[in-house]
Amino acid sequence: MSVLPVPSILDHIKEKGLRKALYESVDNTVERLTPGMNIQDIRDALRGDEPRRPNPRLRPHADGFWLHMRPSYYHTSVTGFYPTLRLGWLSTYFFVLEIITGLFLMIFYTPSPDVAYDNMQNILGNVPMGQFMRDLHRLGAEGMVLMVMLHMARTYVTGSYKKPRQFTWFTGMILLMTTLFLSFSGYLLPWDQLAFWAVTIGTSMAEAAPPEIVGTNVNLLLRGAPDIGAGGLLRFYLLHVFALPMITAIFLGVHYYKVILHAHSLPPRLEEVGQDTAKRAPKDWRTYFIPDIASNELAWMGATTLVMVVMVTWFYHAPLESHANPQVTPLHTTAPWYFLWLQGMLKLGDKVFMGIVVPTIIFGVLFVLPYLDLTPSRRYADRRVALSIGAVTLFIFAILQYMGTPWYGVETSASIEVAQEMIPQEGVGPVRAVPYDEYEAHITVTDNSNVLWDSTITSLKEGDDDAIDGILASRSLVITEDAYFDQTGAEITEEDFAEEPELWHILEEYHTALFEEYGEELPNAIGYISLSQQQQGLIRLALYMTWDAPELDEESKIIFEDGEAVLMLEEDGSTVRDLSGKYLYIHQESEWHEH
Amino acid sequence: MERKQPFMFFPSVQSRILVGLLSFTGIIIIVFWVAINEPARMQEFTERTDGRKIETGATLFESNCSTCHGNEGYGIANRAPALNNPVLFGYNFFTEQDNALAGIDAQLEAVDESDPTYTALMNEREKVELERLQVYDDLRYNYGPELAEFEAELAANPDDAFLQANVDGYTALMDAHSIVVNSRARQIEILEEMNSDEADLEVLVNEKDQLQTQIDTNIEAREVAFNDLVASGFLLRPFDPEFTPRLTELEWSGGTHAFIYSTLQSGRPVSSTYWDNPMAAWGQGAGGPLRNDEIEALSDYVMNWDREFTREDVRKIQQYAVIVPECVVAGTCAGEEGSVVEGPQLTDPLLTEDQLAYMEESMGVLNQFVGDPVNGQVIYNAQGCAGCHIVGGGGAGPDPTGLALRAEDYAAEFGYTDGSWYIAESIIDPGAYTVEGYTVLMVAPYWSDLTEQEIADVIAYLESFDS
Repeated sequence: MSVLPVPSILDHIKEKGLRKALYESVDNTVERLTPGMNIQDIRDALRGDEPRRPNPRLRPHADGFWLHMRPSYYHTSVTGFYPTLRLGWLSTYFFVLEIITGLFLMIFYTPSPDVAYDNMQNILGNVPMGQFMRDLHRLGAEGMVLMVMLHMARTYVTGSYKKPRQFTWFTGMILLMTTLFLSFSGYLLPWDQLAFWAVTIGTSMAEAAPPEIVGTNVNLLLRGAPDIGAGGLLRFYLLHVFALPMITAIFLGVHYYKVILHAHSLPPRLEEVGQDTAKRAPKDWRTYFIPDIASNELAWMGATTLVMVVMVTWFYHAPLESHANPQVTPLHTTAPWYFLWLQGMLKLGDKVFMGIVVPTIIFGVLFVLPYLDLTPSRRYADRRVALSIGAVTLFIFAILQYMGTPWYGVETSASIEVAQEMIPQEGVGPVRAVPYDEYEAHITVTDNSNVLWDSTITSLKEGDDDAIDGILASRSLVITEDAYFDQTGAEITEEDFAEEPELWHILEEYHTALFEEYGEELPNAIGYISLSQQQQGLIRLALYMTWDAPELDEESKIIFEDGEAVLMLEEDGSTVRDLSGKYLYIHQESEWHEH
Repeated sequence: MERKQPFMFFPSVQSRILVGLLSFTGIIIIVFWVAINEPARMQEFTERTDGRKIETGATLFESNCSTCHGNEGYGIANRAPALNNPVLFGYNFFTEQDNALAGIDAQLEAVDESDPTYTALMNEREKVELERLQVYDDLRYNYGPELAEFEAELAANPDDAFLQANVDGYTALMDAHSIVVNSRARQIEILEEMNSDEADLEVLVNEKDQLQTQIDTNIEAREVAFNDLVASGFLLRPFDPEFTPRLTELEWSGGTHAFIYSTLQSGRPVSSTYWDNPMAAWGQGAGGPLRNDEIEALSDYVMNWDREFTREDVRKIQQYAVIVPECVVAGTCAGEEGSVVEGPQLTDPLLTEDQLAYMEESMGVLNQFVGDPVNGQVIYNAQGCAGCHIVGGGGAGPDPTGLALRAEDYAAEFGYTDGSWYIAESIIDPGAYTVEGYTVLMVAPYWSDLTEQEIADVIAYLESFDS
C-alpha cells in the first residue's frame, strides 16, 4: 500500500530507509543524465579502475547526444602529444570560447556606425568585466585562426588527408575559410580606424573580381553600398554573429563525424602502405574516451583557459583606435596578420591577378589537395616532394608576410616618417608616452602670442627661409646633431632632465630618427619640440624639423652623389631650408604612458 | 609491429585531474582579482577617455574653429565671439563677497539694532561691500599692467597721432583709478580698526568720510576719462563685470555643455545678421562635416576653458557675443532704418592684387587638370564646405545639388566657356558673382589652401551631384 495515492519516493523511503532511498534516487538521476554511468561507474573511471561488464563507459557514446559524435575509444598510438599536437581540439575550444565571450559582447553592441564606437567605449569603461571579455574574444580569435592554420599544416605534414580521409580535409578547408572570415568580419565591428581601413582594403579586392559586373555586385552585396557604411556594418555583423558561426557549427559536426567514421590516421610505421587499420585497434591497444581522452581534453582546456586569462589580465589588450573616418586614410594601413601575405602579393602586381586569381588558385588547390595527391604512402621518406613543396610554400608565405608590412615598398617622405615615428596617427608612440608633468616642467613658450600655431608655420614657410630656424629655436627645445639646447639657447644635458627622464628620452629618440635613421634624406637637419600651455591641464606640443632641401629627380626621389644628397640651391647659391612637422595636444588625464 | 607508449605531458588520469583543478582554481582567483579591480579600472578608463576627448577637441578646434574664434578662443574682433570667456560660462567674479554678504545678512536678521554685535556686523558688511567694489573696479577700470606696453608702443611711434591723443586720457584714467582704489583700501583698513576696543571711533569715521569725498570726485573723473577713451576707440571692448551670463541672455534653459553642443551641431543661422560669417551648422545631422563624437569632443574642449577667470583673461578677449536685435527674432527688421546690423555687402571681397594675379594664372591652367570626384569629396568635407552648402538647401550658401546645372545656365548668361569655369571662379574668387538671396560669406583662405589639382577635384565632385 502506497503512502500517497500514487507511487512516490516516499514508498521507497518507507521501504528502504531515508539514506538508501535518497542515494538510489540520486544515482538513478546521474545514470539517466550521463547517460549510462552511475555514481560508482564515474568513481571507478576517475580512480582508473577497470569498468564493470557490460562496460558502462560506452553507453554515453551510444545513447547520449554530446558523445555520440566522439569515438568511444582511440587507437592508443594516436593519443600522445604527437602526432595531433592537440591542435584540432584547441580549434574547437577556441570556437566555443568565441561563442561564449561573443554572446556577452553582443548584449552591449549595436551594429550602427552612429553608436558602434560608443558601444566599444562603453564596454571598456562602463561594463564590469567588459574589457576582460573583449580581450578574451579578440585574443581567442587570433588563437583560433592560428590553431586552425597549424592544424591544417600538421595534417598536411603527416599526410593525414589521404584516402580515406579526403572529405575530412575538405570540410576542414571549409572550416579554415569560415574561421578566416569570422575573424575578418569581426574586425569591422568596433568601427575604429583599424577596422574601417583593414576591411576597406579587404573588400576592395572583391570589387576587383572580373568581370566588372560580378565585382561591382559582389562589392555591393558585401558593403551594402559602394562604400562601407551603415549597410556594410550591418551585413558584416550578421555574417559575424549568424551566418558564419552557423556554417562553422554545421561543418564542425561533419568534420567530427568523419573522425568517428575513419578514426585518426595511425603513425605510418604501424601499418603497410595503402592500408588503413585505424579502426581496427587491438583490444589491448585501445584508449577509451572515458576516462582517458575526456580527462586529457578537459586538462588541456583548463590549462589553455588559464593561459588566456593570464594573458588578457596582464599582457594583452585588444586595440581600439580612433573613430572610423572615411576622410582620413591612415599612413600605414595593414590587413590583419593572417592576410598580410595577400597584401604583400598585391604590392607585386595587378589587383585582379594577385588579389583574386592567385588566391583563388591557392585555396582551390588546397581544397582539392587530397584528390590531386593520390600517392598512398603517409611515410615521411616517401613524401619528400610533398614536404619540400610544403616547406617552400611556407618560406614564400613568410616572405610575402614581410612584404605585406609597411616596411616593404611603401614610400613616404623622410620628414613624414620621422613625425609618424614620434607621433603616430594611431596608438601611443614615444611623444604621447611622456607623462604630462614632465612636459609641464619644460614649457618653452610662456607667452601664448608666441605659440607656433599651424598658421604661424604656414607663414614661416612662405616667408624668409633663413629666419625659420631662429624663430623656431627661440620657442623650442632644439635637437642638433651635436647637442641639445633650450629655448634660451643654453645647452642642456641629461642632468638638467634628471627629474624628467622620459622627456629626455624622446629628445634622444628624435635625435636618432633625425640623424641616424633618416640622416641621409634630411641633410643638416635640426629638430624642434615646442611646448605651450593651451588650457588648464592641456599642453600643446609642436614637433618640427628643418633641413636643407635636397634635389629631387623626376620620380621625386632624392638624388645622391657619393652617398650624400645633392642640395637644392637658390640663385644666389644658398641652400633652401625645408620645414615640416606635426602638433598634438596632451591632456593631464589622458595618461597615454599607461596604455 | 613495435608498440611504443606515446608521449603525453600528463600520462595518468589523476595528474590530468590535478592540472584541471589547479587551472580552474587559478582562473577563479584571477577572475576574482580582475572583478574586484573593475570599478577602479573603469573609472580610470573613463577619465582617460575624457582627457583624450579634450585632446581631439583641441585638434579639431585648431583646424576648424580657430580661424574665426582665435587660437586661444578669445575671439577675433568683428568676426566671431570669444569662447574662452567668463560671460559664456556665467562666471561670477564676486562669489566670495556675495557669499559673505549673504552670511552677514542672515546674521543681521537675527539681531536688532540694540544688540552689541549689530554695529560690528554692519561694519563688516560695509567692508565686504567695499571689497566687492574693489573687484569690480579692477576688472573694469584697471589698465595699469598694460601701461608699460602702451608706453613702449608710444616710444616706438612717437608721431602716432592716435596714441598721442590718448596719452592724457590714459594717464587721467589711471591716476583717478589708483586714488579710488587706494582710498578704498584705506577705508577697508579703517573698518577693521573700528572693531578694536581702543579705536577712537570719531577720528576714524571722520577720516572715512573724507576719503569718501575724495573717492566720489575721482570716480566721476575716472568715468569721464574711461568713456572718452572708449568713445575714441582707444579702449576696445570695455568689460562689464556685472554682465548677464550668455545663457540667461539667450533664455537657454539647459547647461553650458548642451548649449555649446547644440550651437556646434546646428549652427546659429541668425548670426548672419550681425557677423560676416555666420556660425555654420557643423554637425553631420544638420548637413555639416563633423560627427557627433567630434562635436562632443569640441564641446568638451570649449568647456575646459571654464575656470576662475582673472582680469588678465578678460583683457585678452577680442570680441564679445552680440545680443540679437529683437526685431530679428520678431522678423520685423526689414525697412526699419538703423534697427538691424546689415550683413556685409562686399563687391570685391578680400582679394589683393597678388591674389587676383594668382587667380588668373590658376584659371588659365585649370583645364589641364582632370578632377577626381572622390578626392574632391574629401577636400569638400575637410574644408568645411558642407557646413554652409547644405544638401537640400537652407544653408548659408547655395545648395550643392543641381549646382552643375545652374552653373551651365550662369555660364550661358555671362559668357563663360562652360559651367565648370563658373564653379572654378566661384571657388577662387567667391565674390565674382553672388547668387540672389545670398551674401558673400565664403572666405578667401579656402582657395589659397588648395592647389589647382584640388580645385579641379572639388569641381568634379560638385558636378557629380547631378550625374
